[in-house]
Amino acid sequence: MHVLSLCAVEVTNTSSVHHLGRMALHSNGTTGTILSSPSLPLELVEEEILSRLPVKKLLQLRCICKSWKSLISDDPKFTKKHLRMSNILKHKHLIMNVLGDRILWDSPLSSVFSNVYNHTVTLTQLNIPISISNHILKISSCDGILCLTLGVVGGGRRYVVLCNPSLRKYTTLPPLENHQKREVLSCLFSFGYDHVNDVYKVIAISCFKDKHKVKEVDVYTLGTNNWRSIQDFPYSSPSPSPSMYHSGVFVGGTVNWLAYEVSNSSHRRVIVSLDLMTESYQKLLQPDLEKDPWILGMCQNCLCIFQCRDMFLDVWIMKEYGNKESWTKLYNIPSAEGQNSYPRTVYISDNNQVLFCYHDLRNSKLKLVVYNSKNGNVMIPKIQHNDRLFMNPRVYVESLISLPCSY
Amino acid sequence: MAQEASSSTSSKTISLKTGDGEIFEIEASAAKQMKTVQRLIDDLGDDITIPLHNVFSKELPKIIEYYKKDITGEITKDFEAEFVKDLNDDEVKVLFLAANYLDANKLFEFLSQNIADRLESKSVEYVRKYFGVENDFTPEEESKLREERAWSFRGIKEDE
Repeated sequence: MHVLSLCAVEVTNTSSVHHLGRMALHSNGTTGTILSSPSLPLELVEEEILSRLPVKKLLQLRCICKSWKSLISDDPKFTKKHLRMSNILKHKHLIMNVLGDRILWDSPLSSVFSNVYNHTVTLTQLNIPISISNHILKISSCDGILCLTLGVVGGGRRYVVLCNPSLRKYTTLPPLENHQKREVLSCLFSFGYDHVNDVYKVIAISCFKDKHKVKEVDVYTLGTNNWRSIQDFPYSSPSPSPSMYHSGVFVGGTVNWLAYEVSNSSHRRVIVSLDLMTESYQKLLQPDLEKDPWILGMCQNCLCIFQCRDMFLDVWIMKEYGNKESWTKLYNIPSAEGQNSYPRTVYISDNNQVLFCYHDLRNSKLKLVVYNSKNGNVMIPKIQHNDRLFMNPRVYVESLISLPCSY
Repeated sequence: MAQEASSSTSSKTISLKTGDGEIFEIEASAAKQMKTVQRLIDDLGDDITIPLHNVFSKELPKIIEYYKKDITGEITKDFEAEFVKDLNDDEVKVLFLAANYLDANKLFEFLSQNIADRLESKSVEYVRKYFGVENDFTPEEESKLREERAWSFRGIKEDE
């Protein structure tokens, strides 16, 4: 027997030791001495080390042996652990699309924040292998899964494609029944995770020509076959079609939209929240804001408000979801182009660097800027292909979550 | 000086005996961070030399060094980088196993991340050998798996 004293378990009073006794699993049979490479018990490996590897590496390691393949591809517990560990800058990516196109462009987020001299952020192209001749209009993300809305600008049918860019897997959803025979004015898709039931859901808010004041809402639960109708959306939007930018924002078990409450002849902005478990709505109270327009976003797992006032972008964060008093103004960022450029925050790092974006008013190009909130410095990352009209910059986290019926 | 003499354990040291018979001293507050050691102290008392069968004289001083820094709150990214700088992959693995045995959580997590970082750029064969895992795929099965996700084996950026 190959005595590897580190792994040979003496019985001690250590009940929490991670299965050291199982080392024999991977004996490589050599007559090594104590000094040669001891083999690691599978339990340790799977939990701690593998869960910290990037997905690309894990996909390579599937061919190490059958149990590793099964762990990496078919183990929901490991997938969840890996997702938790992915919550670091290293495992996050920036993704965008080009106006009028169906290609996704991806870069590691650390590259965008890099302040190495003359660094260029290179973009990896991801083609969607689905034969819909439409382009990407909107992107939202949750747990490493992207929800892409496809269609043509200006109106018409909208389609959803879900994708896990880390695994390069894509899936389409069944069509919405209520869209079959009626003329659809608009359809807004949102995506989130119901942690109580451990399922992902897509929410569709549709507006039809025959009943244009009503917004019908349907929910699709991933892994099922059909959409379910739920209560109509309780508020209205300023125009018959929800604006391009006002997608639902997923935050901790809820999806949140900017909507309008019409009373007498005025309307005021409200935040409508849909609880993904109960599938019921509530109104959330916003902080006392100036009259300037604002939009919703998500940063650091909290609901945010972005409001452009004069030439500054105010970033508010709701530290405790549902608690009006917890709204805090985090940053006041100089934003050269003002409100019409639609400035908003894409990501806030742990060391308080803010990645924000806006549209250059002169040429409509998307501009990404890194703002250092500690010293006010601004850095403009040099991004490849900057002649193109990028849009929808989003951050996603690497994950192993598989999509049912994907290809 | 932070430590008042309010508790007698604040300046007490514990003796640890490695599997190869050497004895090392650590502060009681450092011992608290290693749950295995603390449990042994609880069972055997803090005056006895605590036997650690599965940790050896090569690793224990390094572990003690880490926790010495930890109790004074001095662990920084720079310190951690320096700590592993001159260790090769196998030495880190041995420390990692020892940290696990000692149930020394902070060091264990740090070393897990360090091993993951080291393995990120290594080949499948290297990782297999490192963990001593036997390949139970047939050559055909393995090459099929590699083909399925050929893009993940490429270092290049463009998708095709």
